[in-house]
Amino acid sequence: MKRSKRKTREIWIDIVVLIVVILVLFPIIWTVLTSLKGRFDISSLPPKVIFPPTLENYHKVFVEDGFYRYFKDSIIIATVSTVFAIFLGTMAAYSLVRYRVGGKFLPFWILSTRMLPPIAIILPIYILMQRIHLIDTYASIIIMHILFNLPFAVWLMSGFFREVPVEIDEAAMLDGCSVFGAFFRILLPVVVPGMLATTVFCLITSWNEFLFALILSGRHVKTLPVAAAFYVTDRDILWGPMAAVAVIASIPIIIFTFLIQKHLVRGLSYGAIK
Amino acid sequence: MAFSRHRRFGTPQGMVFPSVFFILIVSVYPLVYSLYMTLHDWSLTNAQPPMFVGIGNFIALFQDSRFWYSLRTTVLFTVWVVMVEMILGMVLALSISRNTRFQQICRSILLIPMMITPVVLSLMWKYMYNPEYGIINYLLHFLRIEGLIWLGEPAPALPAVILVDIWQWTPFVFLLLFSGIASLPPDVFEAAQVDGASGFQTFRYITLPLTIPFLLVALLIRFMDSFRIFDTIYVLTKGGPANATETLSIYTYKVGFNYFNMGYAATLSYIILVIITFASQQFVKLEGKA
Repeated sequence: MKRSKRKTREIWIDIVVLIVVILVLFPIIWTVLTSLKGRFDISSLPPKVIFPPTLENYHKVFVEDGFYRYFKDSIIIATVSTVFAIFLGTMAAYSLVRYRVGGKFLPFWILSTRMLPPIAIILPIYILMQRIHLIDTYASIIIMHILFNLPFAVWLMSGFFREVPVEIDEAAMLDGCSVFGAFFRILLPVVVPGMLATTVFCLITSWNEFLFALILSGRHVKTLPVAAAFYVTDRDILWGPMAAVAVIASIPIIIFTFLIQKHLVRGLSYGAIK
Repeated sequence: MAFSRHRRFGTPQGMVFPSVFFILIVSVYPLVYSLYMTLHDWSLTNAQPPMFVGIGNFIALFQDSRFWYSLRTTVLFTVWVVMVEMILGMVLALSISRNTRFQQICRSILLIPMMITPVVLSLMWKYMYNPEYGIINYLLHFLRIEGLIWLGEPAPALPAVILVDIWQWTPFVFLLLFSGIASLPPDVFEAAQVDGASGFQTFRYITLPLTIPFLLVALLIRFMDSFRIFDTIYVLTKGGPANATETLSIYTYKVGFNYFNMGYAATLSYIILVIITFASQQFVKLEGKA
């Protein structure tokens, strides 16, 4: 009796949950449908759910409007900034965790960059980048994305290093490894899974970043979000191609998200959980 | 640890310095530079050098009604999104906590919104909000409710923008609270059940108090990120119509990059920095107590 009552309650909860999940998925499904619609199906009323799918929007965006360029720019910027952030961040995390360089202050200081609102440094960055002629180059956007990803990499990697017992390093050194030998040959391989998760996080952050990419982009270098934001203007609404951009930009993100599902909580709450 | 303590560079201790050096140059130096900017009248539209005005920019700020209005908009936006996201996130965390196949799939799906590029999902919503052929007005029409010009009129614009943020970030609060609750020791709940506590009593006297540290973490992160919101609003409304959705970040951006009044924009950006830092410290203090 009590069990069956509980069962009905669980079913009701699941129905509500299903509705929530549909609401969450709806904008995404709607965008995918829109991206496959032809010119006339998009502005038809009532909105069509069944229509002959076409790839003309994808063709327009990538072939006619040259969006492959912004893809290339986004991939280059995300990759290079991530490589630097992981490289520098892993080194820093190692010395912070194993040698407690800077005590409590240094890790906290590095982490406090997380609290820094991007708008607080965007004006001086713009002026300085202009002065050294780095506006509209890969370098300027990459540098700023390293700034966001570096504290993040330090924090996550510190956590992964801390999980490895010090005895492992010490055993390696007793067996004749140098300090660096123990780091590269013993410790680093242990934290590779964590490092991969950190890498994916950094790639996503850079891929999504908008404010710095917006002011540092120009005619030659433009990331995908910036190009997408200017694709839709009030006068000239191209919803079909816009939806195609949205779909293509989101696919790598969604794949990556499922790859790092396990580490998501730790990554997203960084800086706030001790 | 018996690692060598000699020679700072070229030893593992020195491996932190490249990072420290990088952050100093790319964030601390700009912050100092920005402070210098706040003390100057500095326009990029004419060739004149920056003119020292002391605290003139700060005085102007206090007399600037547009600044006060954008502060009000920012606070309204932050309070609403944080409040709704915390409540909905908590409800979801309690509802999707079982390990059935169905609920596991639901949890995975809920991860998607918070990872998608904010610009991209704002564009999705912009299409849905479209008064002529957006799906939202169509569905409302279906329910015999008069549709609105969501992003084109001052009254519905701010709620519309708030809704997008809630859609994107409620799953994040859910995920944090869900993993927080999952990490609690199961015997507390078993004991409550043995003692005959009702579902609500268990929540009120056991789950809620034990989840407070996680709630505070979610609160801190959501506060920091919603107070400085930029991408979503920039794409949806650019702060319009009639400045109804102009938050501090958007206003600062406009003063800097549309009007090129760099000194005043730097002053605004410092105000944002001070507010976020101060409020975050209060949260961290609360966290320390909890």
